Amino acid sequence: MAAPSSGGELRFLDPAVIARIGSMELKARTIVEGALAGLHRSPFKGFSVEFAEYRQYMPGDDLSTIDWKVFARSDRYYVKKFEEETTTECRLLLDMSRSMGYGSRGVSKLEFGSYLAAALGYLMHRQRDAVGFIGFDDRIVTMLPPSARPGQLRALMVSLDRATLGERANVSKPLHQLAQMLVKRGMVILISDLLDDPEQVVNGLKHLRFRGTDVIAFHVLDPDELTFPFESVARFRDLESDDEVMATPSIVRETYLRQIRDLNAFYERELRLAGIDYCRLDTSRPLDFALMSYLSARSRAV
Amino acid sequence: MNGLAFLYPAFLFGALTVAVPIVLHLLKREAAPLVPFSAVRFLKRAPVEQTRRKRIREWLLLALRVSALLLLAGAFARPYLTDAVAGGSAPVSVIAVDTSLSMSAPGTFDRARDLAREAARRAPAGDLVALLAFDDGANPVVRPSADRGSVVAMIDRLTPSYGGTNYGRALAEARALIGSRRGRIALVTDLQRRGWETDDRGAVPARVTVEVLDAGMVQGNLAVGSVTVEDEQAAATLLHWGSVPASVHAWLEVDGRRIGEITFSPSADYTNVTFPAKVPRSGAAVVRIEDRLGYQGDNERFAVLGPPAAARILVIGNAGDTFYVERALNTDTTRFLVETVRPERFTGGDDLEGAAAVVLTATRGIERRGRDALDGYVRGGGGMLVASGGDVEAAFVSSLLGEEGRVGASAAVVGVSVAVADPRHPVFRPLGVYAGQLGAATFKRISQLHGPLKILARFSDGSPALVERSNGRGRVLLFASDLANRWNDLPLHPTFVPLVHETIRYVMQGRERTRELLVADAPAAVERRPGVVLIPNTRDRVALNVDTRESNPTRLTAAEFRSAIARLHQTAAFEARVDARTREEQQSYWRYGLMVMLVALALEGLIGRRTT
Repeated sequence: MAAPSSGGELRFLDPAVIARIGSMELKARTIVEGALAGLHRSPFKGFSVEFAEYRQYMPGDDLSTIDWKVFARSDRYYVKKFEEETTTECRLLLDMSRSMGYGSRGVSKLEFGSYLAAALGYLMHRQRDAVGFIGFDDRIVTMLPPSARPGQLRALMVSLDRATLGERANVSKPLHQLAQMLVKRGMVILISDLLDDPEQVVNGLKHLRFRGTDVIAFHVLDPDELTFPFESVARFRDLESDDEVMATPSIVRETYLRQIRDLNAFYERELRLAGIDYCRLDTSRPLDFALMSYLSARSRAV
Repeated sequence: MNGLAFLYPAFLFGALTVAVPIVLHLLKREAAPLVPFSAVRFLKRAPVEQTRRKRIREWLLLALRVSALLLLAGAFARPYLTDAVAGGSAPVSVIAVDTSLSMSAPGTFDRARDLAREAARRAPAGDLVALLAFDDGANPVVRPSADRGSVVAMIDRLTPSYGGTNYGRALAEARALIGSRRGRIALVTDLQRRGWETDDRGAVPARVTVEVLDAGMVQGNLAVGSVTVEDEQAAATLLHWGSVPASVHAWLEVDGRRIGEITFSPSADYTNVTFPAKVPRSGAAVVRIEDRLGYQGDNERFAVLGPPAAARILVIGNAGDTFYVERALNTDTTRFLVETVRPERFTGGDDLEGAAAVVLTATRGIERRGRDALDGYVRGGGGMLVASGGDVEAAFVSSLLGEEGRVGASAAVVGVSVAVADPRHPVFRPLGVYAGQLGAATFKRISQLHGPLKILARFSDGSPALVERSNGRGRVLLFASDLANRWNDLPLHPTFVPLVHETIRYVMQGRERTRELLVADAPAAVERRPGVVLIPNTRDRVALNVDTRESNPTRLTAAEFRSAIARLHQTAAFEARVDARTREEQQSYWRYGLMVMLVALALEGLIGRRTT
């Protein structure tokens, strides 16, 4: 996977830049097209068996996709392109708890998650997957059932555009509810800061996984949460519980960072063991990184 | 219950500085900015404190800072605990009745009783009442009590004494009876001026009021001031104040037999009269006068006829050691009665009984009991002259000198003389210019004296020759050579006799036998009334007489008396300050306050460092 870059056209994938783009659909398209434009290898390989078109060979394309008959006829290299069959129901779960409202770089985690969900939805819809959306805090707040209908993308974008912060987070509860509701195997993409009881969260995701659902967990964190860059003494007020803690950053930083590292390591270890794709995202980094994570996970799944 | 007081209460205003940390606390309490954050749960597990705990910590810091300032102000104010309030808080009315000789004028004491009874009745309801009789001393007849009947009964039994008047001592005793309570002193007296002419000033705190009840005055007084007998002729000095009769009859009795009388007309303040009769060489004489209006206790004066008893001087030493000392003392047998005892025969108690002074010229052979008796004699107020010659043990004499002095070995010297170090000392002052003749004596051997001793005379080589040392209540003079014409030729010089006499007189400290005592100075075993009495210990006959200063009927005005009382209030205030300072210095609570303050500051530093 190519490392995200801040130069060239990829700068448009910067979440802060994306945030200034008008509609959610446009944002999603910008993210998806921008991310895919830099790829040398088709991400769609193996997704579908239905022929779509020929395309001139480009370095990086798999040699097995070259249509040798066409080469014999035209003495030019063409590769076959296929379209995926729409057989997957994908649900985007976006954490809308108050902790997701934190943003230190102009983009809150909720906004970042919304862009990511929009991009993923756009991508899935383009692949003719049925895509749905669930917004939750300590309960399911918004729900858009999966569908591959042409109007589904717009409905998805509207839902994401209207996503607002809720109350305290309880990630596991909606996951268990969803696991109970699912009757068909599909895919669940969780976008959350996972600032909840880790054991409960993992149990909720395992519940989904147990029902045969592919699960991808995007762990969205702000750079401040990852580095704790504060310098002066402050009263830190929790966004969800309103608890206040007076702390001297220089004293607490080491302990804090160790706990964050331990939390991330816990999620990474436990989810991998459960067969759940786990991707930690920094809201200051380009969104294509997240998309690539998703596509990479899909390619492994296929 | 003890109270808390401060030596310098003005420093307590310094406690107002606690406003500074309080204001700073209130101003700075929201200084830390509020930062919304999403992962506070991880901060809670970090070594930080939650805001509520932080606030508690800040309040603790504030309390420590305020405590430190309060303790500092308190330490500067120098706190101390006052005495417990004695016997409850009921006020005490003390009725102090003057029973001195000056109250013995006809009718005076009856008025005094009436005033005292009236004072007892007028004492505020709820007050405890005490009765105090005073003359030179003060005798609490009835201690603070609610039983006023017993007070009145005891007033009726009071009689005038032969003592002088001492208001200071009376007020001090009354103050002691009142203790730390509020009180009132009703002073029943004749306002005699002499009562304030003592060293006992007393002190009356402001919470105690003094009411003076005047028992009246006499128009005049006659007294026998002195009786002397010279050349078998008796003479008397008769004192008179105010209006006195035109003629006064006086007579002389010896051993109860009237042997002479005289009638005279008092003109000035005193009259000297001589009785035209031959007085026996011994006996108890008394001169009496007739004074119907003045004080009755001073109308007679007693005297013991005959030479005064000589002071008994005990000389301890061997025959060769004591010869010159005995001879020197025996030159004045009227003053000194010399008794010599050999060291091995000295046993202590019996020999020392009644001895006015001891001359120690030899110690070898004195038993342990005798040594202890000598040490006890000196500590008990006896006087001793030690001649540190060849028969005197250095260790024993060193013990007599106490811990500071030490007698070393003797040393042979050549051509050494002695010189007075302090000519004004009582030993040398009577010698006058003749003290310089001590230098004519030559010394062949001297004892080495060491330690920080008071040196009265030195040898010409600089070493101490005559030193003084107080041991207990007694006094020891140590001569660093002998008095036997062996180590020196001092006994052969004319200054030897007066030197021995003055030295003995000095160590006797006035233990010469007296032939007359004031009633107030009479030994405890002797009845305190004028007369010729036998002193039990010494078997001496002594004339007890009243203090003629008490015969002076000069009175204070009421204003002068109030002024004197006001001075006592001031004295009490001053004493209270001195007492407070002494008490505070003994308790020194300010040190503990400062220590606690330092602990508070240390805690504040520790906690404060964790907070910032």
